[in-house]
Amino acid sequence: MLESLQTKKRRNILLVEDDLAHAELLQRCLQDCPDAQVEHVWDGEEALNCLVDRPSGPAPDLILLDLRLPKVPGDEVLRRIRAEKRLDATPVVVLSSSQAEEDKLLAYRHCANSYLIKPMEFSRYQEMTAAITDYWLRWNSSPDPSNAKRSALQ
Amino acid sequence: MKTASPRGLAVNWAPGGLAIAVITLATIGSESEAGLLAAASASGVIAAAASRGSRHVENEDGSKETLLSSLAASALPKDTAQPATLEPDQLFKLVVESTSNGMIVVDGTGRVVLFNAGAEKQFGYERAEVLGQPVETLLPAHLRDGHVNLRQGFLRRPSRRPMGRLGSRLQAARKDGSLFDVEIELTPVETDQGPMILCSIIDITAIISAREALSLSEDRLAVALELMGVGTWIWYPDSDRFECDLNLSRLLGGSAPIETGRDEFLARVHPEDSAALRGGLDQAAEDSSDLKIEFRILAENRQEALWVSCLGRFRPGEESEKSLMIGVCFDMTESRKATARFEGQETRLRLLTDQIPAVLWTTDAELHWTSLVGSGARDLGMDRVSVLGRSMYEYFEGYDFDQTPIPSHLRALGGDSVTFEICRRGRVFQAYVEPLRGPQGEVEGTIAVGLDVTSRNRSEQERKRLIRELERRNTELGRFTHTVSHDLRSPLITIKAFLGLAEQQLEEGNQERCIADLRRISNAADRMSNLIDQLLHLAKIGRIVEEPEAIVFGELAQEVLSILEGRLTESEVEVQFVEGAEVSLMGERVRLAQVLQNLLENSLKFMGDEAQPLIQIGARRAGAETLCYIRDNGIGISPRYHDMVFQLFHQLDRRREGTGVGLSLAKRIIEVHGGRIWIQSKGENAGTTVWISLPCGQEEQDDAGITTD
Repeated sequence: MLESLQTKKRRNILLVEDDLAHAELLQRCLQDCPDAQVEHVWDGEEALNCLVDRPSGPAPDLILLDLRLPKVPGDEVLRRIRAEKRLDATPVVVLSSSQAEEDKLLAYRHCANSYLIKPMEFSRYQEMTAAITDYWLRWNSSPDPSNAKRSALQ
Repeated sequence: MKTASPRGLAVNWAPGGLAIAVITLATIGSESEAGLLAAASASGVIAAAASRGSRHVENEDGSKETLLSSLAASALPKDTAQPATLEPDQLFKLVVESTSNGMIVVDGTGRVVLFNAGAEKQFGYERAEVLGQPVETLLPAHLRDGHVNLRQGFLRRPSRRPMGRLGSRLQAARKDGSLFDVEIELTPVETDQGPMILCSIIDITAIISAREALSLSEDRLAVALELMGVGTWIWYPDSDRFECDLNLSRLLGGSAPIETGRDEFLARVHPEDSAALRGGLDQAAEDSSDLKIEFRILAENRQEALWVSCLGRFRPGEESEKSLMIGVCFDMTESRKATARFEGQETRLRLLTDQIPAVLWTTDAELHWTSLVGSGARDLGMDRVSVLGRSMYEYFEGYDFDQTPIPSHLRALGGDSVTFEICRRGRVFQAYVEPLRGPQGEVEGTIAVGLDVTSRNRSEQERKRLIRELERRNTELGRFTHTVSHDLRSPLITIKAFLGLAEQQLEEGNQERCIADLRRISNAADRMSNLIDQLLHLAKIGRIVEEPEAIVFGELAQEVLSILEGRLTESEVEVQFVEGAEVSLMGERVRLAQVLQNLLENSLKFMGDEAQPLIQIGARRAGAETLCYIRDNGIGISPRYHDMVFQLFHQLDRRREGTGVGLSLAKRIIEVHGGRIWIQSKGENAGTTVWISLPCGQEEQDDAGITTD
């Protein structure tokens, strides 16, 4: 498996985050994952631009999505992603500072693959990002594109 | 020569051309000096006449004789006076036999020596049966013995004498034994055969029964008047005497009939009524008309004045008769009181129906209004005069049929009880209409009542509005806490995480990175502090604390511009005051200034790279609203985000400074003032106009709709 990862080209991660500090934290953590290539957008509109409306290049391997976003809210972005055939195999992990149950339900209702609450400790941030990349980038390597959706349903 | 109307005069014409007048006078008053002229000398008597009013007979020689009873006279027209052609004996016989009075002559021994035709008729005897018989034969059996003495006594002291005065009933006996009432006058006569007695007998049976009938009639009238409490009065205008009968006198508290002057009587009448009574009496006397008047009069035995109804009829005097006015009076105090009570009740009832805060009406089967009462009618703009008799179809012509009360009334005509609502002129009536049934239970129309439930309805609406408001606030609060908890958590995460990161950097000896991380921490803490301040600010704007005041827009804008002066100069933005500096706003000065400041700051913040940055400010009146605007030629906002920017903590670009509270705050303040705020911008680089509308003041609402359910 390691081999197969290594043979793979770099993984593209789209980070949708309006909070500069949070974006920087995530990017720092993702530095630990050498294959990860992070693209950061600031708001929902930009996200939809590069994912749905004016995509350039292949779909990202993973989307890290904040729920509270300027211009277009995260749940709307999620809905549009899930309506896009091209992005069927792309896992979307919602990263939110909200612990509210309704936000979690909202995310899953729009077929988020995972809902994670941003931790307070930097070390836990690191653990979390490691876990995300380990799991979702590996899953996404599967040739079966329906895996992403299936895991979302689980 | 005086003659009166010749009542009861019978005139017979004798073949010889001699006129013989036999005047039978009613001899009611036997107290009068009744005389009988048994024989009248033809010569010397020209005419005789009698009447009840005139009892004098004037002889040719001027001597006067008073006669009552009967008078037989031969009359010869004066102008054709001729010597008598009849012997006195013949004339005597003719007169005696012609009179209807009974004439009997009794001799000194009591035997009948003359019994004329009148007597035959009265007693039922042939004169042959009586002549020579004692006069006692003609008397009732029980009087016969005593009569002999009376007769002898009369002869001892002969004088003309009437018998059978009123009060002592005198009766004679017929042949068949039956008795009849008589009046007898005895006249002593000297004859060749010695003293005799001429008895003139009048059958007064008819008079007695007439007298009895009259007496009965009088009694009947008296009883009726007494039982009815009706008193009578007579007023003689000439002598100005006013006579009250016993009934009336008793009514006025007297015990004997009152006879007084009219002015004295009027003095007893209530001061408010006496002039009217005097006028009424005078008027009736002048016009010979009837009097009908009601007045109050003081009775001696009563505290309060009596109400008396008075009716009278004037009888003008004819010739010697005096004119007089006869009238009746009766007590109508109780009736007046009852009427007053009734009127009082009626008045109260009318006031009640006029003022009851409801409306009641009835219609016939064709929905014509047949009655309409209650003050509610006025509130609905309906008055009795214009509504009664009109049909509902006509009244509500032009309205949406289903919105009129007509369908409800039609259902009531069908036998249903229907509830509906009337909304008119800002008032709400809860109405019920039911079938109006006739005596046989058949539906004749409708009867309805409407109760004004406006205040109830208003409080109900107010309650619902408050509940909605509360629910809205609750939802808002939920969203608010959710948003706040999330957004306060974000900088906390930043702080905590970067602290950990800085720790690592220190351990690794990477001081430079560590300082950068600490700066992040500091920024996040600042942001958090800002957020908390703004939140507190926002939380304060739940309600207007200060009384709203009238604010001149130009002055307000000037205040805010002076606060921002430094920044405006720095960014080289031109500010133009376009219009409406004099327009007045109603609101809380500090809050509205804050809104203007927020909006101007936003304009400055989003000016972009515009070479000639410009901000225009203006205000104008638009109907019941005041519109204010702040227009810039900055970066603009895409129409799809126009609503979003007012959401709490929403920032279209997080890279710019700010907390995302400013516009939320402005919106909140404007809404608390009852106004609206919105954004007008064609999109990016098209500039932005923020509009604010505030209500000018109170406005009246009036709808003319009628709704039913």
